[in-house]
Amino acid sequence: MLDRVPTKPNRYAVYDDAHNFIRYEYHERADEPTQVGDALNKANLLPDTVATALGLTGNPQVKDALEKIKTLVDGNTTLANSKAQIVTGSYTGTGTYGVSSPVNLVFPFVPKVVFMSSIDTNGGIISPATGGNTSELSSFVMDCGSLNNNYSTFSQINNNVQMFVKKSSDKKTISFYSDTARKQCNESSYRYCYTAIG
Amino acid sequence: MSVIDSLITNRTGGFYNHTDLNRVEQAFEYLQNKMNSEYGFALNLTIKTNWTMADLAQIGARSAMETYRQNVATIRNALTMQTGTSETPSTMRFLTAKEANDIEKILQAVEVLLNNISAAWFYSGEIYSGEVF
Repeated sequence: MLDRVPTKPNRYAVYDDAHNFIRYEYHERADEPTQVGDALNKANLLPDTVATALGLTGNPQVKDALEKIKTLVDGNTTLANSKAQIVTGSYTGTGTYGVSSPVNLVFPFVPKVVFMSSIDTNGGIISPATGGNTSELSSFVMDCGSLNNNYSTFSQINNNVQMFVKKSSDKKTISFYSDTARKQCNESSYRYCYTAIG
Repeated sequence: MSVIDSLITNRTGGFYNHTDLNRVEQAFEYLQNKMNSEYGFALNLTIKTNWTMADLAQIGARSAMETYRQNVATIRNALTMQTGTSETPSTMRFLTAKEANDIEKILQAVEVLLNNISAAWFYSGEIYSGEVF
């Protein structure tokens, strides 16, 4: 961006209606401002440091800077959306179970995998290896890519343990139920922790 | 008052020594600071304001003098100068009195144009987009 470079600053030419030159005049402000205001100039609109920082060359204008900013924002947005996202959360079991009372996990992005574990009322983490009853699903990894909009079976440890799982149409909600609260990861007063990666 | 007021443009002869270099280098510094802070430029001159006679006898003085000359060119080229403005000397070797005067005339001319530029600025709230004044 370039500032105008006058050799006779504030000189104006006066013409009649037929555009015949009458004279030169010099105008200067005499408005006694209480506040001078900010100049509309290169230094305030698009200094060279900002133009360079944006990667602009030649004689860039403010519109070029704005366009470049949008390009950079769009590019970063695309990049951010392509990177792995992770979220953790927990809930306390309510004791309900069954197809009418599924557990619904809602995520801010489409999860690719969900890790689930549970903590019993005494604070200990229950795992299939130490939870006693190996028929109980209390920690598992869910491959969300294999789910669809209808409930399908998901089992771990052995085929006697079944949980039914589906994902929502926008793929951001995972719902599951089973035939007991414990199998459904919804036992009353138990805290269930999850980690989703997408 | 600024260093620009101390520039010398009416030599008829004499020697170009460290006092001349320091005066001009201070003018470089003054103009660079002014142009960068008030006019939106991003000049990055290599400036030395403590020249001594011994420095001029050092190996590398020729290179340093070329840097000095390039500073003049950079400042001059930052604005579109008025027709008739002195040209930057092509070399600092065997500098003539006229060329020494030209260097300092250039810096004076740049200061004049910078002041002209700021005298013609409009301020926020004064004009509308597309308005002709």
